[in-house]
Amino acid sequence: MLNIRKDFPILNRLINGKPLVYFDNAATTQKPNVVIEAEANYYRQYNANVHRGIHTLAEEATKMYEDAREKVRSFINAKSTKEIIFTRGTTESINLVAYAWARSHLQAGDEIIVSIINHHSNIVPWQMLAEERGVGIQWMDAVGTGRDLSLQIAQLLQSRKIKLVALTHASNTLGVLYDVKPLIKQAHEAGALVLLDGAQSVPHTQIDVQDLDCDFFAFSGHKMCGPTGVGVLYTKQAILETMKPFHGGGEMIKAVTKENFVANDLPWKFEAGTPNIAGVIGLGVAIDYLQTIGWSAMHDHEQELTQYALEQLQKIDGLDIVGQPEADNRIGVIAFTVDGLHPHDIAAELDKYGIAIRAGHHCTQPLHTHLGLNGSARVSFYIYNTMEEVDMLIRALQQTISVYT
Amino acid sequence: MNEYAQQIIELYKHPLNFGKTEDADIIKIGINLSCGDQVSMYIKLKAKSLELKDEIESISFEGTGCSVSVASASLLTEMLKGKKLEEVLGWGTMEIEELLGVELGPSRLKCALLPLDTIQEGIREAKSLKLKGQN
Repeated sequence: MLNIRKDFPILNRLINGKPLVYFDNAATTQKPNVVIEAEANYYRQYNANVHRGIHTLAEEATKMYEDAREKVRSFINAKSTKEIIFTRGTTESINLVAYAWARSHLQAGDEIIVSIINHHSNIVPWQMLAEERGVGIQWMDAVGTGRDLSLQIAQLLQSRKIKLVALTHASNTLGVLYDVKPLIKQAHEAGALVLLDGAQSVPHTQIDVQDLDCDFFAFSGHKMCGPTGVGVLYTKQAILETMKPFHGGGEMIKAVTKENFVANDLPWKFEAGTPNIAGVIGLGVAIDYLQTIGWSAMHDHEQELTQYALEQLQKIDGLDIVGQPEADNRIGVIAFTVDGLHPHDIAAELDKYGIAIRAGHHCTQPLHTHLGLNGSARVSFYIYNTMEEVDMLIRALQQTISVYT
Repeated sequence: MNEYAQQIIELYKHPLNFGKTEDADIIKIGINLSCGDQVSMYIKLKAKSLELKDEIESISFEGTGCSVSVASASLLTEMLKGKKLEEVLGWGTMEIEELLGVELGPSRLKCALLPLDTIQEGIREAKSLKLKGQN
């Protein structure tokens, strides 16, 4: 187990008189002191707008902001910082693709493959596009981990109208970390581009966008110890160069006349307006923090917790794990249902024990419907969680079940 | 656990007025968008006039919900018997919290209000349909 709980001040909080057990990490993770301090220090010591001023503070802020971009580039192994666009989060990253790429590259009759496991943020932008432009959506409803996915995608890709495949790297409901590389290869062979939602994979596994060979990769800072309101869109440079601007405004232009404007270079062309400077700097520090711990230590820790939790949860009568109950190819996300107990009631009861979990459809309503579920309860782990906390969860769950059934 | 929390769990296990009413005057389905829960309300009126002075004869409900929404529907369907429509339309958060005896956070409040919202929506919809029919 990692010895890092002291880095997270919020973990000292009492909830309803009990020590906080924070198991809602797939929604957002807690922040270590270094990230909180990095944001505060920007405001305390060098708050200025980026890329504009010539004064000392502006130069300091710009350097820190652009240093964070380089940290992100190296973190996901992109070729160039030109391919790293800062956004408000995964949702805005995907919308950026839907507006700045899809609306200028897709026509009525073209099609997009959308996976049933996708988060609403990787569904609704495509439904909006479909409604507006007459683009078709082909649903990929296989939810397994291997061959069925690749068979179904092969079948869907037989339609030569497919221009984009919108996939999820790790499911926020099933907890599966998908082997997407073969799917990306299949899509490319059929002439389609691939957008990968990495919101749930980035916090848990090392990403190499060049190795994955995805065309677009979106993720958020706040699910990996970073601040809320900052995320990233990675896009291959060759594709970015064919894209129209997203938002118009300051920062994204080189020159503006009454008649026209000249768009800025990459990546700033896609970063109109004053960005979330403190957030971007905080994200850079979160990356430093995670790298200090190291992927293999984080992975071992999470595997141990997840395996233990899966075993213990399945011992509870009437409890069903949503999806495959195996710990392989999995991130620390476990959704479950309990006979005769509504997910809201589970979450509300556990809160009395200081345990924070998620209840509902976790923004994957089509997946829940596909699985015949109205909703589920979800626990999700991160680097600071402990085996003792899993034991507390199991005890609290057993007591809740005894009260309700 | 206090008596109100106990009452909520008891009503969840054994709801009141649960089930379909085939000859209802108003049938309305309500959905809690935040969790996908769904409730159907079946309302019978005494005078079947949909006038504001018309009274509720009985209400039954069915659907899926958490303990708070099921308890709220149970108590509400009991309490609204004999109430005038104008009074029903005037009910809000305060009455529901009083009924349940607990203070609710913003997300749980949606669960608690779903039955009332659905009843009110059903009455308003039926009234406006009737008005259109008269024109």
